[in-house]
Parts: sequence; structure tokens; C-alpha cells
Amino acid sequence: MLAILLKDLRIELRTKETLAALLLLGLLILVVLSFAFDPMSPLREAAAPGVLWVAVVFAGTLGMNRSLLRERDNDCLQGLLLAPVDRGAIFLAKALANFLFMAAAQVVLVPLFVFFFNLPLVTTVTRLAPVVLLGLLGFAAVGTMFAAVSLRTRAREVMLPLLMLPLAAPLIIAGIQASTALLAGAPLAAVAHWLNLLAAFDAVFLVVGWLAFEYVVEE
Amino acid sequence: MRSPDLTDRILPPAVIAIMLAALYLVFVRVPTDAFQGPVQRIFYVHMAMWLSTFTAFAIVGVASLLYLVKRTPHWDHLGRAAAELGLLFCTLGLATGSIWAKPIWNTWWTWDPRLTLTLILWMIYAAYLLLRSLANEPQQGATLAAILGVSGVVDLYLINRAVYWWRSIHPAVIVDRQGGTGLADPLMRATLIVTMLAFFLVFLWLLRLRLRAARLQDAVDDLRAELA
Amino acid sequence: MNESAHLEYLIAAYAVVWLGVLIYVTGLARRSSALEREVAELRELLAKRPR
Repeated sequence: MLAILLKDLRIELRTKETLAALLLLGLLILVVLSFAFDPMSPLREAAAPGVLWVAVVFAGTLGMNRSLLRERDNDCLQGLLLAPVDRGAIFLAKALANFLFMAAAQVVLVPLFVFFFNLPLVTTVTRLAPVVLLGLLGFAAVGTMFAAVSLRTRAREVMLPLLMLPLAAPLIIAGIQASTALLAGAPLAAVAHWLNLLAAFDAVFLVVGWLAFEYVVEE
Repeated sequence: MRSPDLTDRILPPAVIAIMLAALYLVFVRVPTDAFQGPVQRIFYVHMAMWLSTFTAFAIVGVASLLYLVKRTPHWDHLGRAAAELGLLFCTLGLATGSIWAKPIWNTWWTWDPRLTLTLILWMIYAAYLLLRSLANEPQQGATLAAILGVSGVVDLYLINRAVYWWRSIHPAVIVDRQGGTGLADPLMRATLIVTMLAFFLVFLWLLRLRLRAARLQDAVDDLRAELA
Repeated sequence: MNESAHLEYLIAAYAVVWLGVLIYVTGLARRSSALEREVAELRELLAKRPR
């Protein structure tokens, strides 16, 4: 499993275009959403966590789509399936790779977010880190699985968000709510229920993906 | 499965009978709500939609799981039929809810947790059916949809918690509709039960019809294959 | 609020439900009978085939 993980990571690193595209897209979404708010109004500050998560969600969705499409084109998956590797392990490796990938993107996006919304950098990052990481993990799990599912349909690009987003609703809600509270200064204990929800979501979809991936990739 | 003849003979007249009883209760017998007026009667049919919607969802989940495990077409047919009907009743539930909200709270939509949950459910149903029709191969489509089906059901509890917590943070601008079921009046309770039962029977009846259509489609496909 | 003004909502709600169910049933019935006819036709064709 480690080998697959490393392989995936190496591929991603070699094609920096995906990372660049993801970052630019995230930035674009941040900017466009900012157009919705009058810079002077307090509404902007209240909406900040929402904006961040929207950017994360949409950029992440598209990034995942791209990476799996590229792999399909390269027939990497075919080769992998020929080997006697546990399908579940393949899923976990991919999910982890996607997670790391998205986390890497966040390293740039969050500071940008801080920049645009005029928030204190270190406090914001430290406060948001647990939520964002938990959220990204769940996102990677659902995303990896349903990216594979949508590959096998005729409307790939549209299918992934369509499948993922309703299912990821608890993730998005929990992420935004927890972020809002944390940014306002609440201690971690106050958002424990949201964090538990995120953790539960992560666990559920990592397990579901692990079990179901073989059904997805069978021919 | 139950004996086809007996259920087929009993079900339609039973549906009609109970539906008539429900209509009678709703429009003639049940007292008018003191607070909301006659519009409150929408409540009975609105709640009836929920029972079928969630039963259908449960069926989709179970059928999906069983299909993945056993691979018999029957489970696939059941999942799809339940999803179609679930989508139908979910749509009607949302519609009746909205039509009820407008005169009472002067808004078409409230982010009431139950409504929000239902909306997300609706999207999962719609995605399920869309996934099927857009799949590259029908056989695979069944498997993919089944995975979505299982995921949806498994996720339901989490969605429920998230939506309810979300709506409890912000003080409800609109008083929770469930203030309306301090259904003290036993006649109101009875009306509710009868109406829910009536539409639940409609749901079961439609489910059977839909399954029959699916089996006919299978027969057609098999015959065509033989002829080819 | 004027109570009687709300009756249209009550009627609309029940109408929507009935229409919805009715449309679905009609569509289903039509499809089913079309399929039944097709099955019969195909069976005939199969029977006529030289073996």
C-alpha cells in the first residue's frame, strides 16, 4: 500500500499542473465570492469561513476529477488491477494521496484566505487546522470513491459533484460551523461535537470506500 | 414474495377504501385547527409523504446492499423502483411543505432541519437515478447505483445530526412546525394515521407495479437476445 | 390573516399530490402495457423461427 501511495504522490509531483490549477482555481473562487460582499460590511467577516470552505470544496472536487481522469488516460489503474493487490488498499492509498495533495493546496490557500479577509495569520491557521484536516480527510475519502464511480458514466465532470456534494453535506456544514466558532475564539471543546461528526464521517467513508472500491473497479 | 393473485386483488380496493376514509376524515370530520385555520389540513397529506419517502430510502439502502452481496437482478429492480417512488414522494413532500409554509409563515422555504434533510435526501435520490441512466453500461450502472444507495443510507444519520445542530445554533426565526403536533385532539391523530396509511398503501401498490414493469423489461431484453 | 384566502393553498397541496401520483401511475401503466405487447410480439417471432 505504501508503494501505491508513493507512486501516486510521485505522479502528482511530476505533473505540477494539477497542483497549480487547483491553487489558481481556489484563488479564483475566493476572489469571485468576495465580489458578493461589500468589503466594508461585517457580513463579509461572518461569511469568511463559508467562503473558505466553498473554495476548498469546489477546488478539491475539480482537482480530484482531473487526477483520476489523467490516470484513466494513462491506464495506470489497469496495470494496478492486474497485480494481486487488495482493492481496498488501493482505495486507501489513493484517498491518502488525494488528502495529502489537497492539504498541500491548503498550505497556499489558507494564507491567501487570511490575506483577503484580513485575519491574523498564525491564530487563524492554528485554530482552523484540526477542522480543515479532518474535513479534507473525509473529503478525500468520499471524493476518491465517487471519482472512480463517475469515471464510469457518460457525464464525468458533472457526475462527481452531483454524487459527492449531497453526501458531503454533513462535512461541509460541520466544517463551516466549527470554523466559524473557532475563528471567533471558541475553545476546541466547544466545537467537539462538530469535530466528532467530522471524525465519524471520515471513518464511515474510509470504511465504505475500502469495502466498496472493488465493486467500483470491476469490469 | 407474497402470492401475486391475492395481493393484486386485495390491494387496489384496499387502497381506494382507505384513501376515501382518509379524505373523509381530512375534509369532513377533523376539526379545524384553531391557530392555523383550514390550511392546517395540508399537514395530514404532508406527513403522509414522509413515511413513504423514508421507507423508500430504507428499501433502497437494503436492496443496494443485498445487490452488492448477492447480485440477483431482483434487488437491483427493487432498489431502482424504491428510488423512483422515493423521489416522487419526496418531491411531493417538499411541495406540500412549501405550499403549507407560504400562507402560514409567508415564505416558500424555511431552512427547517427536517426540510433541509429532505432536500439533501432528494438530491441523493436524484443522483441515484441519474447515475443509473448515465452509466456506461447498465450492468455497471446497477453496481454503481448500489454503492451510492448504501453510502446514502449510511450517511443519513450524519446528515441528520449536522442539519439539526446547524439549525439549532441560529434561533429559529420560524417557530418549529412541530409546535403543530402537540396533536392533542385524538381525532386529529386518527386522521393523521389513516392518511399516512392510505398513502403508504399507495406507495406499496406503486412499488409492485414498478417491479412488474422492471421484470417485463427484463423479459423483453432476454427475448431480444434470444432472437438475435 | 384572512382565513378564507388560504383555501387555495389547501386545494393546491392536495391537487399537487394527486396529480403527481396520477401522472406517475399513468406513465407506469402505459409503459407496462407497451412492454406486455412487446413481450407477446417477441414471443410470437421466436415461435415462428425455424429451429
